[in-house]
Amino acid sequence: MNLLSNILYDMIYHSAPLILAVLGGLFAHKANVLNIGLEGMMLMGAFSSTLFVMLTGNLWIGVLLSVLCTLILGLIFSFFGITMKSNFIITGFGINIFVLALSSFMLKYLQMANINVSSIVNVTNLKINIPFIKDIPIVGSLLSGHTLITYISFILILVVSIVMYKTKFGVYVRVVGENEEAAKSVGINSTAIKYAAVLIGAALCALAGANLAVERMALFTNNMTAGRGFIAIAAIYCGGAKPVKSSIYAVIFGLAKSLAINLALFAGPVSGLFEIVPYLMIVIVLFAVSAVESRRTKIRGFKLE
Amino acid sequence: MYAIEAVNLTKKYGDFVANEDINISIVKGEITAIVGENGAGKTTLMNMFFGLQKPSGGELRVQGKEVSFNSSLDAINCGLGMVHQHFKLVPSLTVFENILLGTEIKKDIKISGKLSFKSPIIDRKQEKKTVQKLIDDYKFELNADDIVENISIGAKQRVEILKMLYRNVDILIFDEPTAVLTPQEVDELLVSFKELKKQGKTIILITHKLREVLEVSDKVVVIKRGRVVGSRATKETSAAEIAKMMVGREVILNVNKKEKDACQNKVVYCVKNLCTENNFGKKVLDNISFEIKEGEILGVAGVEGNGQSELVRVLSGLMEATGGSVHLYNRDITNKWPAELRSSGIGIVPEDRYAQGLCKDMTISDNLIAGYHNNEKLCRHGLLLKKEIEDVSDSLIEKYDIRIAERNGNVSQLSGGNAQKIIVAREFDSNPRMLIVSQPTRGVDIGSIEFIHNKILELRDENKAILLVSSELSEIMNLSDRIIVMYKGKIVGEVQGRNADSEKIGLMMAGVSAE
Amino acid sequence: MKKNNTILKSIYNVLFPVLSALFLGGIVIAAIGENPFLTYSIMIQKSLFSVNGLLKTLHFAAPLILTGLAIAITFKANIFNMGVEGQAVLGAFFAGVVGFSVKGLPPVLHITLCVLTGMVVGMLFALIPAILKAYFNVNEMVVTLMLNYVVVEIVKFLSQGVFKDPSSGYVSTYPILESAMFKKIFNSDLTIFFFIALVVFGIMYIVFKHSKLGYEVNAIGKNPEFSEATGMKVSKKIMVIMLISGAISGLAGAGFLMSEKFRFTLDFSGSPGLGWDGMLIALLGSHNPVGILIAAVFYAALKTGSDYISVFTNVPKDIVGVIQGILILLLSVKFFNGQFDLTGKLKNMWKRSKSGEQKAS
Repeated sequence: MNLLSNILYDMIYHSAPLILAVLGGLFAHKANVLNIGLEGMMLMGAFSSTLFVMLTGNLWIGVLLSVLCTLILGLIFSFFGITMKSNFIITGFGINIFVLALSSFMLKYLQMANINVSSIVNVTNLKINIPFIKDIPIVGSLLSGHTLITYISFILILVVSIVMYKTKFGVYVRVVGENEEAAKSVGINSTAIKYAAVLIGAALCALAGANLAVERMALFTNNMTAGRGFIAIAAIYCGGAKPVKSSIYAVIFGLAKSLAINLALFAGPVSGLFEIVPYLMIVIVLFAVSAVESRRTKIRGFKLE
Repeated sequence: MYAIEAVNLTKKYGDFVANEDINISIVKGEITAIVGENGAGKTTLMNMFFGLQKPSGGELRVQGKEVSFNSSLDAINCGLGMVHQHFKLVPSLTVFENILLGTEIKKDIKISGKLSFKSPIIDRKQEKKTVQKLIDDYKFELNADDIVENISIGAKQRVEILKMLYRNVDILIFDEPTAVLTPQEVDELLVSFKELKKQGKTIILITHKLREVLEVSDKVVVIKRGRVVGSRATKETSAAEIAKMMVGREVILNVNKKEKDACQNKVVYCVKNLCTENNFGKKVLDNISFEIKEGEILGVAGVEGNGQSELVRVLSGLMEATGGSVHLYNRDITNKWPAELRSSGIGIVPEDRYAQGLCKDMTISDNLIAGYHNNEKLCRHGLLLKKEIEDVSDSLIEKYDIRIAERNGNVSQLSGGNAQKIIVAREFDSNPRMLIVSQPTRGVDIGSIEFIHNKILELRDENKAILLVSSELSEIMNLSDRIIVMYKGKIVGEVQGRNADSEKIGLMMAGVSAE
Repeated sequence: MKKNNTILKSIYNVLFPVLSALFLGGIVIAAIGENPFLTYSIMIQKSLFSVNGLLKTLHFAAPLILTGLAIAITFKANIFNMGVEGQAVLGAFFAGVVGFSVKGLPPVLHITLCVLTGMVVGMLFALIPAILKAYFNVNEMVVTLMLNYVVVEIVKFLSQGVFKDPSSGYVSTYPILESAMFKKIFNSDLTIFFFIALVVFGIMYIVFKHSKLGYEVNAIGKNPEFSEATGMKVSKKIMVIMLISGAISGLAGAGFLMSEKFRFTLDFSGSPGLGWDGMLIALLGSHNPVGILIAAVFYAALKTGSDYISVFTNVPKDIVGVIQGILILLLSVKFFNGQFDLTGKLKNMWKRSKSGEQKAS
């Protein structure tokens, strides 16, 4: 029983940053701007939020400043990718490597192995326990005891669905991605829409990073996002870039991580190998989804993407 | 006062002059046809009218006032609308969403009595009602609720027209509107032109099809090499005169084809019960069967999107057949890959020139050997023989009259006609036994069309079997010995080329059976 | 004349980002209160302007030439094999295992065996994303990235477990035997490995420039649909390309282990890692073999030089990573020619300002 509720709790815990990155990446993906830089933006969120919390001594100011920092990063990506028409993939990797290098450079310069802000942020106080619900077994561990950004991430699934399908902005994002000429011909500023799509992604990735570092552990360690940005991209692919479906994949990947952690406790000497489970699972899920797709199509060969 | 007036309008791209000193006056309430060959500069001119491109010089006046458009939106606000050749529609959205794109209606949120404000949510119900009313006003055949990717090409065009009419434009520009329609749909469109004219709209029709010009327009303007070379009242001119102005010399509009009987000849290519499906599991080829004999051209007619592309894809090894068989001289070649098809003697001119036929960013000589680069004359021990490749390229360039600046230039610098000639040279010169030729002259100038048509007929006279797929009905009728018509993935009729009747083929293209 | 122009443009396309990245890196250095000129001059002096330094630079360039080539051949085909890092690490690890566990072989044989192990392991590991991409159209980029994390965990597990050298103070495998080591030439840092890398470079040069495969790789990268239509069997070619890439990556890892590290540690590949350096080098060399050779030496010089800057200044050597990130960002744009034409824009501005002057006068 205890194990089950641990697994469920950790599933939600590990899904939250993935969902945020998925939802953020969706807009850019729909607007036909492949954002490989999610990983770097998330890392920027994690790094800058911890750094600013340490510098300002206030959690929410720190988070706010980190969103600003990541937006600047998003602007750089948009400027290169959209205005200068660069190769998105390379630009995205540039962002990733730059942030990784910048954060480890700063750590070295500050002569710290990691940034620990537990003296400022009390992690247990950030967990929101919902009365009554927290006492219900299983449901309690699913719904209660999580942090604010975690709750926000799940609420955002609904919000993003509405924005994407019911509002002008969402329609424009999809139109720009599907037929940019059509958008331009009726006077939609496709460049502005693309910028907005990337920047929304950047902001949500900042939150994901803050959730990962400050809000959950009050700690930043080198390269702590560990490929979550790419996992989010995999989830977007698998879910066909639909908000709810892609988020479900994010939760599945969260579950894989949670299982790996919770079951490793029983694995004894081979527990270290459990770390590979989430990554392998992504490869397998991607394979399954793509295999179904490629069986359906009778057209041979590849197209220029 | 003129609806639109161009005064010395000029457009240059670097050293290349697309339009030079164009002077045109378009009279209000008239239908003006602008004709010219492919690449003559018609589209550039219209793009300047519609604000998609900025003129490098000259003046544009709308309703007597000088204008300078920064985007198509400015043009629309000035009362100019354009129906593009390649529709600017979003396939996954509905008809009404497409028509209202950019001018969405938002839901009102009412807070007690008069106080109300716009919410960010789109009011789909209201949108649908508005569009349905518009459709009814203009008596168009269209359903506001349909998803655009599922409707016919003619219907898509009507969506484009309504998109402009909703924005209250007075002047409508049509860019090659009939290129993709069946003869019947063309007739319907010409009727709606007259209807729109009656309602006081000014129409500019860009085309290279002279029949339509003579039928509906009031005035014809001919453009050649970026300049206006003639302007006539339609009543006072003839097809022959316009054609002469377009090309600059007398044109024989009919191909010189020797009639001969292929019935007795050996069967080269035999397709039996061929089927395939698209990604959604829908049958797009449904029991296709035909034979081609030596020295015969079999034409495949049909409105685009009725399975012709899939047929060519399957036959050229780019798509898998789910059923049926293909034989070349009794050898089973069903579902073989392109390399195997080529080595068994099939030449392929694919439908999409720049997607499957050529690689734009490679050099001309690299493109000329593609598909035959395995040939031992060109490649030994996995290494390409530069000298031999250069020789082969040079001889092809000369033989097929490909006009280029340099052999090592990229294909992207070539005109449509010369680019197409590269494919034709590559595929025709490999001495194939059977040729699959799809849309051989789309977007190609008249000179190259003549050249390519003659090459096709030459091969036919050398006893090759040829499958010709084209959406240009006149091309099919001029070249084919036999014609089959496709509709919704099936063959709905077959006629002899000799006594083909465009009316009858047109009906079959629209799905009305021959009987 | 025209050809010269394009060559010139591609040189500008590389020089401009390099100088800008060094400039921006200089700003970062200045921002932490250090002298960028001093830092850069130390870097260059130590790595290029002394015989020992230069040899050391060449020595470090060897694995980078290889990973650069490994990435370039896939990038050129528009296949994003991000697994070069993982393939190199795994290749190195198993080359190391063979290096310390197989005993009693003469050096030539032992070295050959280790190198081959590295190459085969790299190939086998590249096989997974290759099959997935070629026959099921699974996005190779995500797969290879995920598999990189898998590699990290596997080698961590193995070097903490069965292959752990208990005498070492940190997590590490046993050192390889003397017979498996590339010997230093004339007491310098240079080993045979550098020349092996040069041979591979020579082979790849011919593959890129003169072979049928090179022609097909080029075509697939530029238009896969066209390539399929002209009978190049794209899936099969993807397999070939990925296997070549995997083998070269494995060789890079194995050689680096056998010529420099001699034992596998968790920070073997460095930060951000040989594969990522390879990506930068491939981009810097515009996927052109000669360009890659030059870029590898340039980048190796930066890396070698960076080892000294922390001795003389307070700048952490991670500054190279920062410059690398900025450089990749800048290299993703073609500033001259291509879609965004800086020269054209500047010319236009010049013209406009001139015509403005004329109007004013």
